[in-house]
Amino acid sequence: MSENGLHSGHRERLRQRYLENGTENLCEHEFLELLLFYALPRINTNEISHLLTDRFGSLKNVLDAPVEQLTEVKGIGKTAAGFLKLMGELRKDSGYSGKDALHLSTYELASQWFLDYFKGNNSELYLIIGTTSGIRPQVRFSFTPDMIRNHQLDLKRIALMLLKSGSERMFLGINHPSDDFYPIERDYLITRNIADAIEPIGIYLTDTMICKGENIFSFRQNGSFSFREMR
Amino acid sequence: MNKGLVDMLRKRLESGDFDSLSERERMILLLSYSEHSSIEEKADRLLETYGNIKSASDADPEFLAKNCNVSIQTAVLINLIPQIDRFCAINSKNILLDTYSRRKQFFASYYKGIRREKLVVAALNRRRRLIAAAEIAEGSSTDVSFSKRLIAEFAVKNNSDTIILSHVHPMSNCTPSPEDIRATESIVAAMKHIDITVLDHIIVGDDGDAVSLRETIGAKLFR
Repeated sequence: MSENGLHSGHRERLRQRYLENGTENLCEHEFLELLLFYALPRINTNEISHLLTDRFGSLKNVLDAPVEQLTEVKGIGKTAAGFLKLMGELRKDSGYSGKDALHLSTYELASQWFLDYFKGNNSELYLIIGTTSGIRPQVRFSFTPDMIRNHQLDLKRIALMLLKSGSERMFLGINHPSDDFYPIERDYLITRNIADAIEPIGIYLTDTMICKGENIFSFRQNGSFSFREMR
Repeated sequence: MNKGLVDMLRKRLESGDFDSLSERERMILLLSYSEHSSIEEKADRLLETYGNIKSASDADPEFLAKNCNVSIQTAVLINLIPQIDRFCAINSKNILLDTYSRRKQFFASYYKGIRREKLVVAALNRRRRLIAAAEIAEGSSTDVSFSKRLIAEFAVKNNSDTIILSHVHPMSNCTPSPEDIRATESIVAAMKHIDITVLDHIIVGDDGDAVSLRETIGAKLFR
Protein backbone atom coordinates (compact mmCIF):
# COMPACT_ATOMS: atom_id res chain seq x y z
CA MET A 1 0.00 0.00 0.00
CA SER A 2 1.31 3.45 -0.83
CA GLU A 3 1.92 5.86 2.01
CA ASN A 4 -0.96 7.88 0.77
CA GLY A 5 -3.32 4.95 1.02
CA LEU A 6 -2.06 4.22 4.49
CA HIS A 7 -2.87 7.75 5.63
CA SER A 8 -6.28 7.86 3.98
CA GLY A 9 -7.25 4.62 5.76
CA HIS A 10 -6.24 6.16 9.08
CA ARG A 11 -8.20 9.31 8.25
CA GLU A 12 -11.35 7.44 7.35
CA ARG A 13 -11.18 5.32 10.50
CA LEU A 14 -10.78 8.33 12.76
CA ARG A 15 -13.62 10.16 11.01
CA GLN A 16 -15.84 7.09 11.29
CA ARG A 17 -15.08 6.83 15.01
CA TYR A 18 -16.17 10.43 15.38
CA LEU A 19 -19.37 9.90 13.41
CA GLU A 20 -20.32 6.88 15.50
CA ASN A 21 -19.29 7.98 18.98
CA GLY A 22 -18.64 11.72 18.88
CA THR A 23 -15.71 13.10 20.81
CA GLU A 24 -16.27 10.93 23.87
CA ASN A 25 -13.38 8.54 23.16
CA LEU A 26 -11.03 10.89 21.36
CA CYS A 27 -7.99 12.38 23.04
CA GLU A 28 -6.79 15.90 22.39
CA HIS A 29 -4.18 15.11 19.75
CA GLU A 30 -6.59 12.85 17.83
CA PHE A 31 -9.12 15.67 17.76
CA LEU A 32 -6.46 18.08 16.49
CA GLU A 33 -5.58 15.47 13.87
CA LEU A 34 -9.22 15.34 12.74
CA LEU A 35 -8.97 19.09 12.14
CA LEU A 36 -5.55 18.93 10.49
CA PHE A 37 -6.80 16.43 7.88
CA TYR A 38 -8.45 19.38 6.16
CA ALA A 39 -5.42 21.62 6.19
CA LEU A 40 -2.79 19.00 5.35
CA PRO A 41 -4.18 16.69 2.69
CA ARG A 42 -1.20 14.38 2.20
CA ILE A 43 0.94 14.47 5.31
CA ASN A 44 1.34 12.42 8.45
CA THR A 45 -0.85 14.53 10.70
CA ASN A 46 -0.09 12.52 13.82
CA GLU A 47 3.46 13.85 14.01
CA ILE A 48 2.43 17.45 13.31
CA SER A 49 -0.39 17.25 15.85
CA HIS A 50 2.18 16.34 18.52
CA LEU A 51 4.62 19.03 17.34
CA LEU A 52 1.88 21.65 17.65
CA THR A 53 0.68 20.68 21.12
CA ASP A 54 4.28 20.34 22.35
CA ARG A 55 5.14 23.79 21.10
CA PHE A 56 1.99 25.61 22.27
CA GLY A 57 0.97 23.50 25.24
CA SER A 58 -2.71 22.93 24.42
CA LEU A 59 -5.27 22.90 21.65
CA LYS A 60 -6.59 26.24 22.89
CA ASN A 61 -3.15 27.83 22.60
CA VAL A 62 -2.69 26.33 19.12
CA LEU A 63 -5.96 27.89 17.96
CA ASP A 64 -5.16 31.22 19.62
CA ALA A 65 -1.61 31.42 18.22
CA PRO A 66 -0.79 34.02 15.53
CA VAL A 67 -0.25 32.77 11.99
CA GLU A 68 3.46 33.71 12.05
CA GLN A 69 4.10 31.51 15.09
CA LEU A 70 2.14 28.58 13.68
CA THR A 71 4.19 28.58 10.46
CA GLU A 72 7.37 28.20 12.52
CA VAL A 73 6.26 24.63 13.23
CA LYS A 74 7.68 22.14 10.73
CA GLY A 75 5.00 21.05 8.27
CA ILE A 76 2.66 23.99 8.88
CA GLY A 77 2.42 26.37 5.94
CA LYS A 78 0.36 29.49 5.51
CA THR A 79 -2.74 27.56 4.37
CA ALA A 80 -2.71 25.27 7.40
CA ALA A 81 -2.05 28.17 9.76
CA GLY A 82 -4.95 30.09 8.23
CA PHE A 83 -7.20 27.08 8.65
CA LEU A 84 -6.33 26.77 12.35
CA LYS A 85 -7.03 30.50 12.76
CA LEU A 86 -10.46 30.04 11.13
CA MET A 87 -11.29 27.17 13.50
CA GLY A 88 -10.23 29.28 16.48
CA GLU A 89 -12.49 32.13 15.36
CA LEU A 90 -15.51 29.95 14.52
CA ARG A 91 -15.23 28.26 17.91
CA LYS A 92 -15.96 31.57 19.66
CA ASP A 93 -19.20 31.82 17.71
CA SER A 94 -20.43 28.29 18.25
CA GLY A 95 -22.51 29.15 21.29
CA TYR A 96 -21.25 26.35 23.50
CA SER A 97 -18.81 28.47 25.45
CA GLY A 98 -20.01 30.67 28.25
CA LYS A 99 -23.70 30.53 27.57
CA ASP A 100 -23.60 26.76 27.66
CA ALA A 101 -22.96 26.90 31.37
CA LEU A 102 -26.46 28.35 31.70
CA HIS A 103 -29.21 26.13 32.98
CA LEU A 104 -32.51 26.30 31.17
CA SER A 105 -34.23 25.99 34.52
CA THR A 106 -36.79 28.77 34.19
CA TYR A 107 -39.09 29.85 31.41
CA GLU A 108 -37.17 33.15 31.14
CA LEU A 109 -33.77 31.45 30.79
CA ALA A 110 -35.01 28.93 28.26
CA SER A 111 -36.81 31.50 26.11
CA GLN A 112 -33.79 33.83 26.17
CA TRP A 113 -31.56 30.92 25.15
CA PHE A 114 -33.67 30.18 22.08
CA LEU A 115 -34.06 33.86 21.12
CA ASP A 116 -30.27 34.24 21.24
CA TYR A 117 -29.75 31.06 19.29
CA PHE A 118 -32.04 32.05 16.41
CA LYS A 119 -31.07 35.73 16.42
CA GLY A 120 -30.40 36.89 12.86
CA ASN A 121 -31.17 33.48 11.38
CA ASN A 122 -33.50 33.74 8.37
CA SER A 123 -34.07 30.05 7.78
CA GLU A 124 -37.03 28.07 8.97
CA LEU A 125 -35.43 25.69 11.40
CA TYR A 126 -36.10 23.32 14.27
CA LEU A 127 -33.65 22.80 17.12
CA ILE A 128 -33.73 20.06 19.71
CA ILE A 129 -31.81 20.52 22.95
CA GLY A 130 -31.35 17.55 25.22
CA THR A 131 -30.65 18.44 28.85
CA THR A 132 -29.84 16.59 32.05
CA SER A 133 -32.39 16.47 34.84
CA GLY A 134 -30.54 19.56 36.15
CA ILE A 135 -31.56 21.23 32.82
CA ARG A 136 -28.01 21.63 31.63
CA PRO A 137 -27.70 21.43 27.82
CA GLN A 138 -25.97 18.23 26.73
CA VAL A 139 -26.67 17.95 23.04
CA ARG A 140 -28.14 20.00 20.19
CA PHE A 141 -29.68 18.83 16.95
CA SER A 142 -31.01 21.09 14.20
CA PHE A 143 -33.30 20.00 11.38
CA THR A 144 -35.25 21.59 8.56
CA PRO A 145 -38.95 21.59 7.57
CA ASP A 146 -37.83 19.74 4.42
CA MET A 147 -36.75 16.85 6.57
CA ILE A 148 -40.28 16.62 8.00
CA ARG A 149 -41.98 17.05 4.64
CA ASN A 150 -39.87 14.34 3.03
CA HIS A 151 -40.28 11.97 5.98
CA GLN A 152 -36.52 12.05 6.57
CA LEU A 153 -36.75 12.85 10.24
CA ASP A 154 -35.84 9.65 12.03
CA LEU A 155 -37.53 9.84 15.44
CA LYS A 156 -35.84 6.68 16.65
CA ARG A 157 -32.48 8.21 15.86
CA ILE A 158 -33.39 11.32 17.84
CA ALA A 159 -34.45 9.18 20.79
CA LEU A 160 -31.16 7.26 20.63
CA MET A 161 -29.14 10.45 20.40
CA LEU A 162 -30.88 11.83 23.50
CA LEU A 163 -30.35 8.58 25.38
CA LYS A 164 -26.69 8.42 24.38
CA SER A 165 -26.06 11.95 25.58
CA GLY A 166 -27.60 11.16 28.96
CA SER A 167 -30.44 13.65 28.43
CA GLU A 168 -33.52 13.36 30.61
CA ARG A 169 -35.42 16.32 29.24
CA MET A 170 -35.81 17.92 25.89
CA PHE A 171 -36.73 21.33 24.47
CA LEU A 172 -37.83 21.98 20.91
CA GLY A 173 -37.10 25.42 19.46
CA ILE A 174 -38.68 26.55 16.20
CA ASN A 175 -37.53 29.52 14.13
CA HIS A 176 -40.32 31.26 12.22
CA PRO A 177 -38.55 34.02 10.29
CA SER A 178 -41.37 34.62 7.82
CA ASP A 179 -44.63 33.55 9.54
CA ASP A 180 -45.80 35.02 12.81
CA PHE A 181 -44.90 33.29 16.04
CA TYR A 182 -48.09 31.26 16.39
CA PRO A 183 -47.70 27.54 15.82
CA ILE A 184 -48.71 26.07 12.49
CA GLU A 185 -50.15 22.60 11.98
CA ARG A 186 -46.69 21.11 11.35
CA ASP A 187 -45.36 22.46 14.66
CA TYR A 188 -48.13 20.73 16.64
CA LEU A 189 -47.63 17.54 14.73
CA ILE A 190 -43.87 17.37 15.14
CA THR A 191 -44.13 18.26 18.84
CA ARG A 192 -46.60 15.47 19.38
CA ASN A 193 -44.63 12.93 17.32
CA ILE A 194 -41.41 13.68 19.18
CA ALA A 195 -43.17 13.47 22.56
CA ASP A 196 -44.67 10.13 21.55
CA ALA A 197 -41.24 8.80 20.59
CA ILE A 198 -39.26 9.93 23.63
CA GLU A 199 -41.62 10.01 26.60
CA PRO A 200 -42.17 6.21 26.76
CA ILE A 201 -38.40 5.81 27.27
CA GLY A 202 -38.27 8.34 30.05
CA ILE A 203 -37.21 11.54 28.29
CA TYR A 204 -39.60 14.40 28.99
CA LEU A 205 -40.45 17.11 26.47
CA THR A 206 -40.34 20.21 28.65
CA ASP A 207 -41.42 22.83 26.15
CA THR A 208 -41.73 23.79 22.51
CA MET A 209 -40.80 27.40 21.89
CA ILE A 210 -41.45 29.29 18.68
CA CYS A 211 -39.24 32.30 17.98
CA LYS A 212 -39.80 35.17 15.64
CA GLY A 213 -37.38 38.04 16.11
CA GLU A 214 -37.83 39.16 19.71
CA ASN A 215 -41.10 37.30 20.23
CA ILE A 216 -41.67 33.84 21.59
CA PHE A 217 -44.61 31.46 21.86
CA SER A 218 -44.28 28.73 24.49
CA PHE A 219 -46.44 25.61 24.20
CA ARG A 220 -46.25 25.12 27.95
CA GLN A 221 -47.25 28.69 28.80
CA ASN A 222 -50.16 28.53 26.36
CA GLY A 223 -51.50 25.15 27.37
CA SER A 224 -50.70 23.62 24.00
CA PHE A 225 -49.68 20.28 25.47
CA SER A 226 -53.29 19.16 25.84
CA PHE A 227 -52.61 16.09 23.67
CA ARG A 228 -50.97 14.56 26.72
CA GLU A 229 -54.29 14.40 28.53
CA MET A 230 -55.90 12.62 25.60
CA ARG A 231 -53.43 9.78 25.64
CA MET B 1 -13.46 26.48 -7.39
CA ASN B 2 -13.25 30.25 -7.57
CA LYS B 3 -9.58 30.48 -6.73
CA GLY B 4 -9.40 34.25 -6.85
CA LEU B 5 -12.15 34.66 -4.27
CA VAL B 6 -10.78 31.94 -1.98
CA ASP B 7 -7.25 33.38 -2.15
CA MET B 8 -8.56 36.83 -1.31
CA LEU B 9 -10.59 35.53 1.65
CA ARG B 10 -7.66 33.50 2.95
CA LYS B 11 -5.42 36.57 2.79
CA ARG B 12 -7.94 38.54 4.85
CA LEU B 13 -8.13 35.70 7.37
CA GLU B 14 -4.34 35.37 7.65
CA SER B 15 -3.96 39.08 8.23
CA GLY B 16 -6.34 38.84 11.20
CA ASP B 17 -9.36 40.36 9.49
CA PHE B 18 -11.88 37.69 10.53
CA ASP B 19 -14.45 39.98 12.14
CA SER B 20 -15.24 41.86 8.94
CA LEU B 21 -16.00 38.66 6.99
CA SER B 22 -19.69 38.04 6.28
CA GLU B 23 -21.33 34.74 7.20
CA ARG B 24 -21.28 33.79 3.51
CA GLU B 25 -17.56 34.57 3.21
CA ARG B 26 -16.87 32.53 6.34
CA MET B 27 -18.82 29.59 4.93
CA ILE B 28 -16.94 29.80 1.61
CA LEU B 29 -13.64 29.85 3.48
CA LEU B 30 -14.64 26.84 5.54
CA LEU B 31 -15.71 24.85 2.47
CA SER B 32 -12.52 25.79 0.61
CA TYR B 33 -10.57 23.42 2.85
CA SER B 34 -12.75 20.46 2.01
CA GLU B 35 -14.70 20.90 -1.24
CA HIS B 36 -13.14 21.10 -4.68
CA SER B 37 -15.92 22.44 -6.87
CA SER B 38 -18.94 24.78 -6.82
CA ILE B 39 -17.95 26.14 -3.43
CA GLU B 40 -20.10 29.26 -3.69
CA GLU B 41 -23.22 27.32 -4.68
CA LYS B 42 -22.70 24.88 -1.83
CA ALA B 43 -22.13 27.69 0.66
CA ASP B 44 -25.35 29.38 -0.48
CA ARG B 45 -27.30 26.14 -0.23
CA LEU B 46 -26.03 25.52 3.31
CA LEU B 47 -26.89 29.05 4.41
CA GLU B 48 -30.30 28.92 2.79
CA THR B 49 -31.05 25.67 4.62
CA TYR B 50 -29.57 26.40 8.04
CA GLY B 51 -29.28 30.19 8.18
CA ASN B 52 -25.77 30.27 9.64
CA ILE B 53 -22.70 28.15 10.38
CA LYS B 54 -23.73 27.61 14.00
CA SER B 55 -27.03 25.94 13.11
CA ALA B 56 -25.40 23.94 10.32
CA SER B 57 -22.90 22.62 12.84
CA ASP B 58 -25.80 21.33 14.98
CA ALA B 59 -27.28 19.33 12.10
CA ASP B 60 -26.97 15.62 11.49
CA PRO B 61 -23.80 15.39 9.32
CA GLU B 62 -25.12 12.59 7.15
CA PHE B 63 -28.32 14.46 6.36
CA LEU B 64 -26.47 17.73 5.80
CA ALA B 65 -24.13 16.03 3.32
CA LYS B 66 -27.00 14.57 1.31
CA ASN B 67 -29.29 17.56 1.47
CA CYS B 68 -26.73 20.26 0.68
CA ASN B 69 -24.71 18.25 -1.82
CA VAL B 70 -21.43 18.31 0.08
CA SER B 71 -19.11 15.43 0.98
CA ILE B 72 -19.38 13.64 4.30
CA GLN B 73 -15.87 14.96 5.07
CA THR B 74 -17.21 18.50 4.77
CA ALA B 75 -20.21 17.64 6.94
CA VAL B 76 -17.86 16.30 9.62
CA LEU B 77 -15.73 19.45 9.44
CA ILE B 78 -18.80 21.64 10.06
CA ASN B 79 -19.95 19.31 12.85
CA LEU B 80 -16.55 19.49 14.60
CA ILE B 81 -16.77 23.25 15.28
CA PRO B 82 -18.86 23.17 18.49
CA GLN B 83 -16.76 20.29 19.81
CA ILE B 84 -13.59 22.41 19.80
CA ASP B 85 -14.60 24.07 23.05
CA ARG B 86 -14.63 20.85 25.00
CA PHE B 87 -11.07 20.13 24.03
CA CYS B 88 -9.97 23.66 24.74
CA ALA B 89 -10.91 23.23 28.40
CA ILE B 90 -8.75 20.14 28.64
CA ASN B 91 -5.04 20.18 29.32
CA SER B 92 -4.74 23.91 29.58
CA LYS B 93 -1.14 23.55 30.68
CA ASN B 94 0.13 25.99 33.27
CA ILE B 95 -3.31 26.98 34.46
CA LEU B 96 -3.19 27.96 38.12
CA LEU B 97 -5.20 25.63 40.38
CA ASP B 98 -4.39 27.20 43.72
CA THR B 99 -7.86 28.17 44.99
CA TYR B 100 -11.04 26.17 45.52
CA SER B 101 -12.94 28.21 42.97
CA ARG B 102 -10.26 27.82 40.27
CA ARG B 103 -10.21 24.06 40.76
CA LYS B 104 -14.00 23.76 40.68
CA GLN B 105 -14.21 25.87 37.55
CA PHE B 106 -11.49 23.87 35.80
CA PHE B 107 -13.06 20.48 36.45
CA ALA B 108 -16.61 21.67 35.77
CA SER B 109 -15.59 22.63 32.24
CA TYR B 110 -13.48 19.48 31.90
CA TYR B 111 -16.52 17.27 32.41
CA LYS B 112 -18.85 19.27 30.19
CA GLY B 113 -20.85 16.82 28.10
CA ILE B 114 -19.46 13.73 29.84
CA ARG B 115 -22.05 11.37 31.23
CA ARG B 116 -20.16 8.30 32.44
CA GLU B 117 -18.54 8.22 35.82
CA LYS B 118 -14.87 9.01 35.30
CA LEU B 119 -11.87 9.56 37.52
CA VAL B 120 -9.69 12.39 36.26
CA VAL B 121 -6.42 13.35 37.94
CA ALA B 122 -4.54 16.63 37.56
CA ALA B 123 -0.79 16.66 38.17
CA LEU B 124 0.57 19.99 39.43
CA ASN B 125 3.99 21.53 39.83
CA ARG B 126 5.28 23.13 43.05
CA ARG B 127 3.63 26.42 42.17
CA ARG B 128 0.27 24.66 41.81
CA ARG B 129 0.12 25.06 38.10
CA LEU B 130 -1.21 22.26 35.94
CA ILE B 131 1.33 19.98 34.28
CA ALA B 132 -1.22 17.57 32.84
CA ALA B 133 -4.69 16.18 33.45
CA ALA B 134 -5.83 12.75 32.34
CA GLU B 135 -8.61 10.29 32.66
CA ILE B 136 -7.36 7.50 34.91
CA ALA B 137 -10.36 5.23 35.14
CA GLU B 138 -13.93 4.91 34.05
CA GLY B 139 -16.75 3.43 36.10
CA SER B 140 -17.59 3.49 39.76
CA SER B 141 -15.23 5.40 42.01
CA THR B 142 -15.58 2.80 44.73
CA ASP B 143 -13.24 0.51 42.83
CA VAL B 144 -10.07 2.39 43.67
CA SER B 145 -7.55 -0.39 44.22
CA PHE B 146 -6.78 -0.63 40.54
CA SER B 147 -6.84 3.14 40.10
CA LYS B 148 -4.25 3.82 42.81
CA ARG B 149 -1.47 2.31 40.78
CA LEU B 150 -2.50 4.27 37.69
CA ILE B 151 -2.73 7.53 39.66
CA ALA B 152 0.76 7.01 41.08
CA GLU B 153 2.09 6.11 37.65
CA PHE B 154 0.55 9.22 36.11
CA ALA B 155 2.03 11.53 38.77
CA VAL B 156 5.49 9.99 38.53
CA LYS B 157 5.52 10.06 34.74
CA ASN B 158 4.72 13.77 34.84
CA ASN B 159 7.37 14.50 37.50
CA SER B 160 4.69 15.77 39.80
CA ASP B 161 4.44 15.42 43.57
CA THR B 162 1.09 17.19 43.99
CA ILE B 163 -2.15 15.94 42.49
CA ILE B 164 -5.85 16.78 42.53
CA LEU B 165 -8.43 14.02 42.18
CA SER B 166 -11.78 14.57 40.55
CA HIS B 167 -14.78 12.65 39.39
CA VAL B 168 -18.22 13.32 38.02
CA HIS B 169 -21.63 12.26 39.32
CA PRO B 170 -23.39 11.99 35.99
CA MET B 171 -26.79 11.17 37.41
CA SER B 172 -26.94 13.23 40.60
CA ASN B 173 -25.72 16.42 42.19
CA CYS B 174 -22.22 16.98 43.50
CA THR B 175 -22.87 16.08 47.16
CA PRO B 176 -20.04 13.73 48.25
CA SER B 177 -21.09 10.20 49.18
CA PRO B 178 -19.55 8.19 52.07
CA GLU B 179 -17.79 6.08 49.40
CA ASP B 180 -16.24 9.19 47.89
CA ILE B 181 -14.76 10.07 51.27
CA ARG B 182 -13.50 6.53 51.92
CA ALA B 183 -11.93 6.37 48.45
CA THR B 184 -10.21 9.70 49.05
CA GLU B 185 -8.77 8.51 52.37
CA SER B 186 -7.49 5.37 50.76
CA ILE B 187 -5.82 7.18 47.85
CA VAL B 188 -4.29 9.81 50.18
CA ALA B 189 -2.81 7.05 52.34
CA ALA B 190 -1.41 5.17 49.36
CA MET B 191 0.16 8.26 47.79
CA LYS B 192 1.88 9.14 51.07
CA HIS B 193 4.13 6.09 50.63
CA ILE B 194 5.67 7.62 47.54
CA ASP B 195 5.61 11.23 48.80
CA ILE B 196 2.81 12.42 46.56
CA THR B 197 0.48 14.98 48.13
CA VAL B 198 -3.21 14.79 47.30
CA LEU B 199 -4.23 18.43 47.45
CA ASP B 200 -7.96 18.16 46.87
CA HIS B 201 -10.79 16.07 45.45
CA ILE B 202 -13.34 17.87 43.24
CA ILE B 203 -16.75 16.34 42.56
CA VAL B 204 -18.83 17.65 39.67
CA GLY B 205 -22.59 17.03 39.57
CA ASP B 206 -24.83 16.63 36.56
CA ASP B 207 -25.96 20.23 36.86
CA GLY B 208 -22.38 21.41 36.37
CA ASP B 209 -21.92 22.52 39.97
CA ALA B 210 -18.78 21.35 41.74
CA VAL B 211 -17.62 20.85 45.34
CA SER B 212 -14.14 20.69 46.82
CA LEU B 213 -13.81 18.02 49.51
CA ARG B 214 -10.99 19.99 51.11
CA GLU B 215 -13.27 23.00 51.39
CA THR B 216 -16.38 21.17 52.62
CA ILE B 217 -14.96 18.25 54.65
CA GLY B 218 -11.71 19.84 55.74
CA ALA B 219 -7.96 19.59 55.30
CA LYS B 220 -7.62 16.67 57.71
CA LEU B 221 -9.01 14.31 55.08
CA PHE B 222 -5.87 15.00 53.06
CA ARG B 223 -3.29 14.56 55.83
